[in-house]
Amino acid sequence: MLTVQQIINGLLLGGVLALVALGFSLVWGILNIINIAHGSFVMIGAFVTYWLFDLFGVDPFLSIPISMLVLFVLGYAIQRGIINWVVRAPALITLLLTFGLDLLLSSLALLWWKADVRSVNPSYGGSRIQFGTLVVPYVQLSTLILALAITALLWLFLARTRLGQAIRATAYDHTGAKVVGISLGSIYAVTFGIGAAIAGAAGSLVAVVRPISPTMGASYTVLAFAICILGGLGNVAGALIGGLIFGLVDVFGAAWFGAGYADAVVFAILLVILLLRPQGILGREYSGGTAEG
Amino acid sequence: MGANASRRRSLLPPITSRSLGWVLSVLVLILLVAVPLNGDDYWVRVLTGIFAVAVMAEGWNIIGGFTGYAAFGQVGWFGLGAYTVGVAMSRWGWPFWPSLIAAGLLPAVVAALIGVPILRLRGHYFAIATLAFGIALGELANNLRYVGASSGISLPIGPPFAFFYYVMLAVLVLAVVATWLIARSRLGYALVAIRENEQAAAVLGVNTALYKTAAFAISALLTGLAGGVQAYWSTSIYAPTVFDITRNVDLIVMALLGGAGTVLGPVVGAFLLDGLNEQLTGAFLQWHAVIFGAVVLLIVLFLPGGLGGLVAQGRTGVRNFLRDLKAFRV
Amino acid sequence: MEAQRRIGDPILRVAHLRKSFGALAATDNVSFELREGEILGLIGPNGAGKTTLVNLLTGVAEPDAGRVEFNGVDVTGWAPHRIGRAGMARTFQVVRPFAGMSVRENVAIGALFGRGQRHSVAAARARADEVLAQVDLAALADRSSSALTLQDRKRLELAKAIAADPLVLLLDEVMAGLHATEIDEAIDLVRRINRGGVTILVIEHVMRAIMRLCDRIVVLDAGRVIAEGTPQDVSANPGVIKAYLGARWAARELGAEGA
Repeated sequence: MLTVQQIINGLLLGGVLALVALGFSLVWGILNIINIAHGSFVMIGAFVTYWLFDLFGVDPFLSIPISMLVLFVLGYAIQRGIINWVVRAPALITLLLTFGLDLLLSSLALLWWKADVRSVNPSYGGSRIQFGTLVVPYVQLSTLILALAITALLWLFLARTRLGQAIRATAYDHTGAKVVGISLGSIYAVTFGIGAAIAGAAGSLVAVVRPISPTMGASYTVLAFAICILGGLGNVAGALIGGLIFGLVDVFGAAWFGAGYADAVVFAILLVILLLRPQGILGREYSGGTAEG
Repeated sequence: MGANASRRRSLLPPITSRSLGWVLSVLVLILLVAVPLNGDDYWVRVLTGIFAVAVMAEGWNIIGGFTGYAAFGQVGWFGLGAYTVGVAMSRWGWPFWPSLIAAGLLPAVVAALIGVPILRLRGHYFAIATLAFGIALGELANNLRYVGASSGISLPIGPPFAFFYYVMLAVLVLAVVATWLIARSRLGYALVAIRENEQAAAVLGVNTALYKTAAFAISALLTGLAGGVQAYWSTSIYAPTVFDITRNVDLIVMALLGGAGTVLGPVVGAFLLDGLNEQLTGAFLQWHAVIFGAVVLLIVLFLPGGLGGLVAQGRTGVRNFLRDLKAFRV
Repeated sequence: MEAQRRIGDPILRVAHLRKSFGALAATDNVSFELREGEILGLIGPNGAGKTTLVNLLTGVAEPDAGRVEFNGVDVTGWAPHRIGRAGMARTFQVVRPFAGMSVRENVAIGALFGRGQRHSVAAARARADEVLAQVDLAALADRSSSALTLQDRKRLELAKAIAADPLVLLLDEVMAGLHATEIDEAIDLVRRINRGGVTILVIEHVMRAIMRLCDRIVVLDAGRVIAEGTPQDVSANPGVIKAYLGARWAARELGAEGA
């Protein structure tokens, strides 16, 4: 049965999932790259928060800017130093490359942090708002609000700043970069860096609401893909709505089929969407990301 | 147009025979048949593993190399084959051979069924759909109590290693011979035409949906057989091992390295890369996964056309190599 | 030579064909007939809907309404490969060689899967060699198809279609981009194919070629048929001249030459 509490839980989780998808959607929409390593970026963001909390007692929410900075630098360097070399190659090559990066990042993380599942539990973790029988934990509520805030900031950045407009323009043609007088390679690197930074923020938020491990990346990548497909590619609002829907899917999937099937439910939904409506439920086709590949 | 610019140069043209290649491969085959005779268990074990990976790479080659559909769920067929043998032998008490046949047929049937809708997708969409399907199969195996859920399936200890060595080698030979036959048949012509331009193939009368589905099913069949042999060989079947999604990328890189869309390229690539992986595992227990990952990245970055591309460029190789590097750059 | 050709009953009947993309009607109530043995020209200004029409006829696009009857059978809505197999072949305006294959292998695809349906690869390759000789590409049979000049790629595009042993061949701008002498060669080639018993629908912007080749011409403008008749009739039709060259030109041309 759908209970109001489950719907609340789903929506609270959905904000974080939307943020996971947002950076993925940006990179796909603008660079036409399916970044399989996206889930690993989320994982690294989560571990930055975990580490800062565990070693120095930094509040997990305060570590978000640090996660974003670390991942922006990492993302920028990866795009600049590696992916820019093959960005015009066929889909197979960029898929392999980012898949290889994902392996590399997760095996490094495994060496470093071992395979243990960890979690971040700040002292205020248990406090919550109570409305009769309904419960809204402060931590979950904060993740939703922050996720919405970061989404709004990205939207403002893309819509209102010159750099943001140049980034959007590169999705349609390659002259956008000239508007702000920087090279296409830099625009791509900045875009990829921003996508990674958002993944880092999402990872920090994931760390406070879910257990984390070095191998958590793969399921977040597929989730991000599923949300993009559902919400329509390269569409900020679409990522948000898709994220909220998958938050509900996650909660109800776990309730109905058992927690072990949570991923399988996401994959099954993804397959059904792909087969029935590959252009997405909400979106139309975004430039560069056609099904023709 | 993008497809034209990105044409891979391959070791062997897709639809021609090379007698030298065949003489060499028969010699190698004779050598391989002789390996277990000197009683060295290490090499028997290592080579059996490489044969399995080579079958997977060759299986991917049919849908990915010949047909041009970037399947990322090949490991799903391997796991499905492994679980078929596991369930048939442990639950139903079947002998090994009929179980192995089922391990080929079941993935083929499943591939034929999902192939009809899934092969309408292209590019990224097809890649992720196949990846998700492979992962979903693994998740299912890991949760379904009938197949042992997370504790997997255990089989009784089977015949000595040499038995599995020869069976796996036979599956590999089957995969190569099947690919060779396909490459020179109507089917092979249809697949390459689909890869190069699906619509142009269709208006010339090629039933693209039928041939793509056939390629997908054959690819699943060969890979499932390898999984079936692997299952009985290792006697313990765990979903995370037989559905290890990280191997999807390894075997595609192997096929690319040796030459996708050629008969022997993927096998050569598998021997090189999996052999290297084995050496790395021996030398750097902790870091081998990282080093291997880096090698895979370097291959994708610098040799997207495979070794064949390098050889085909001949003398002016270095200059062409640099030019190729710049071709996809921004 | 022209007198020896026999033009028979309609082999392709197109009735009230309609296709819209959004609000734009790319093909609007188009009807015409193609008679067995003839060469029919399909002309019209850019954007008139010629290529869309060819796509509708060959199953590459599905019509919103209307009917295509080919060789006595209603083929409306058939998949492209079924229509191809029934004997309708086409070329693409932007040529589409199978880049990973040799020239001979490209042509063998038509021989293997087209109306001729050769079941052995050897027979298909033999047929491919015949066709390559016919289009003067025999010397390049073993070349990679991605290494050809534009003229040779156009010939290859034709050869692939001919090897399918079609009853009807739809040629979508096979002469665009060729020099004058190359166009003359192409005209000869199309005539030879036609004399070999293939009915031809030719879309072309090169008017000289259309006028010399065609028995009849259908003129499309904005998705509609605006004229139909012999080359002489059509070239004297004020509506056609207007559609092609604009109203000002039409007035001047008609005034100067008196039609």
